[in-house]
Amino acid sequence: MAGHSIEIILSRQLADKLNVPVLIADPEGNLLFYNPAAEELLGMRFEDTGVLPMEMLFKYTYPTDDHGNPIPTEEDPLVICLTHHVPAHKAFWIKSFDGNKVKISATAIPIVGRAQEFVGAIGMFWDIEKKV
Amino acid sequence: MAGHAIEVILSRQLADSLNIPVFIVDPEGNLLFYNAPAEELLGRRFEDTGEMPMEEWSTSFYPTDADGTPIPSDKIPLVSSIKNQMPAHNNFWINSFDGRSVNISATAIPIVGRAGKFVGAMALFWDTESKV
Repeated sequence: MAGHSIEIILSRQLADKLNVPVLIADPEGNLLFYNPAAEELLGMRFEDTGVLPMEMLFKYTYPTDDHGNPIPTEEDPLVICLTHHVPAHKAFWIKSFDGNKVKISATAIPIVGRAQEFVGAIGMFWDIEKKV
Repeated sequence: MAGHAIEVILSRQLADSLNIPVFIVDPEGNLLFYNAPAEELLGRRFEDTGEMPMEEWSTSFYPTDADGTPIPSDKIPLVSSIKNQMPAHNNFWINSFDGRSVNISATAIPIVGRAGKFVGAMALFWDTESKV
């Protein structure tokens, strides 16, 4: 995380303390970090995967709609966010690494500092079926 | 912000560095902070409104659906997140303090630290009509 912008560093510090799944991506779409809550939902550990290209995450999580049809990459909130630098939201199904199918609600927001430089994105997602 | 949990402080630090509107509330729903982009969207500076109880901020913006019908408070993501300590998302209309009607998309997440203590919530929202 050293060498990244202060906004990315702050994002990571906060993500590390939250119980909501969070992932942080750089402008090129590399996942720089995902927190323990995301590890639990995805069924993989950041210390095992390390920095991961987003394409690899999609390949393993296989996002689909309610009918089981693959979501076009350009409709994924994180892709929209990284491509257009705008927030985005969508609900869809994913397959965790341990094979469970989970319907998630996902929001991605661009990390654009006050200097107006786009430095990455934060993705927050949660299991829609999960109750308190 | 002094005297609040570290997660709330980090949330504020991050909110202060983002160009997306952000609200931060305490566990009782009292509004602790909103950032500069939120000030712009809402049409009033935080230093002019100060901290607000939930009953006030949840109604001040007159949240409605597309037909102009007031939405129940439990459909406001930040209210839902405080009550259920779960993430929530919704699209709805609000009236800004300066009289504009704005359609927003809002995601709220509980701020629950690793120790499992609920210390507040934050909402990220955006004008759905706003383009890059």
